Amino acid sequence: MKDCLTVVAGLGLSLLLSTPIHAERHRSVAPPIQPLTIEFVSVPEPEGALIAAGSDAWIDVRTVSQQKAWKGKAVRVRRRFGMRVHGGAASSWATATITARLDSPDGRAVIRIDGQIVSGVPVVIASHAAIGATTIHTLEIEVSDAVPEGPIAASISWEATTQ
Amino acid sequence: MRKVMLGCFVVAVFAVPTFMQAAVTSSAILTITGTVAGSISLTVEDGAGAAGTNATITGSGSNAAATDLGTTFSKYGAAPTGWTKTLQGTTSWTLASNFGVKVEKANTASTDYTLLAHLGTDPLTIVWKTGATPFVAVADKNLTSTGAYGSTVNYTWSVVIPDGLAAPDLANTINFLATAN
Repeated sequence: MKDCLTVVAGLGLSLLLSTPIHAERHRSVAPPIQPLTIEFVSVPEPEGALIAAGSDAWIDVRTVSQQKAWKGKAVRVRRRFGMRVHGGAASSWATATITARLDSPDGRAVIRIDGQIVSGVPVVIASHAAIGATTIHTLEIEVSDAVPEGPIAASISWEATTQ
Repeated sequence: MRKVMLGCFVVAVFAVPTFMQAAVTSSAILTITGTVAGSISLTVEDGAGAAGTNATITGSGSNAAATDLGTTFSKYGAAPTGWTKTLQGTTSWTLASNFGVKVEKANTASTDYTLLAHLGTDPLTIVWKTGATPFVAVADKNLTSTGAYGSTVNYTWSVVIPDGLAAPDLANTINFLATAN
């Protein structure tokens, strides 16, 4: 009997300790989760800017071909763009991890973000991106000389996760 | 009692306050489009003739090369470096040398190329030629219709200077045009 009373008392003590001091006595309410959104931002680019629409964006690198008297075995095209993660007005998050994954490779181009090859497996582009701050990234499209001419079409899925 | 305290601890761990925020995720899509276009590249290269018969090419490996014969060359003097001299009696003399042309391709199914060349200005009585056919300014000379990509093709070029021409000026330009077949 004494043991049972001790167990009950222990459980009560545990629950009491695990309840937030400021929480209401009879109702535990989680604060509303602020929506997290990714925004693409144009940066000045001589070859043309990114076109953003909500959380999605489009970059047209136009014609990709070797230049006069080239020396390499592939042509590389680079475009810079900005990215900003919004955490909502009442957000308490400080940073987010941003990953990128190639959704639909077209087989013509190798795509890199900030020097990292983007494939079907998510790659971390920024491990501690500050919420609300714009970070500049470089997209690189590499097309081998051996690839036949034709359209490039690829899409990259981005994900921001709070920490 | 120990078991009881352990049980309390376990309960406390699992009863973590519910207001802790879970990780929140958001996603976005970046679409990339473009068009890969085929292209070819022409570069002037050093000649592949015998030692001493290849002109010194400044800018070899590029598409804007030059060679300088110097300012003092004459029928009976020393030939410019990399050039050989041949005398044709008392009518003319010829300077000859070698240079290369390399055409490479990218992103095209073309298997060979046509190479044309013409002079920048007509040289009056001086004759520029590769092989037997002279270069002229008004029309392209066909150097090959089946050029192989990726290898340097050696051409021997010669300049025939008549004896009757006082202070010959050899300054000129050869314009090459490669077209994918």
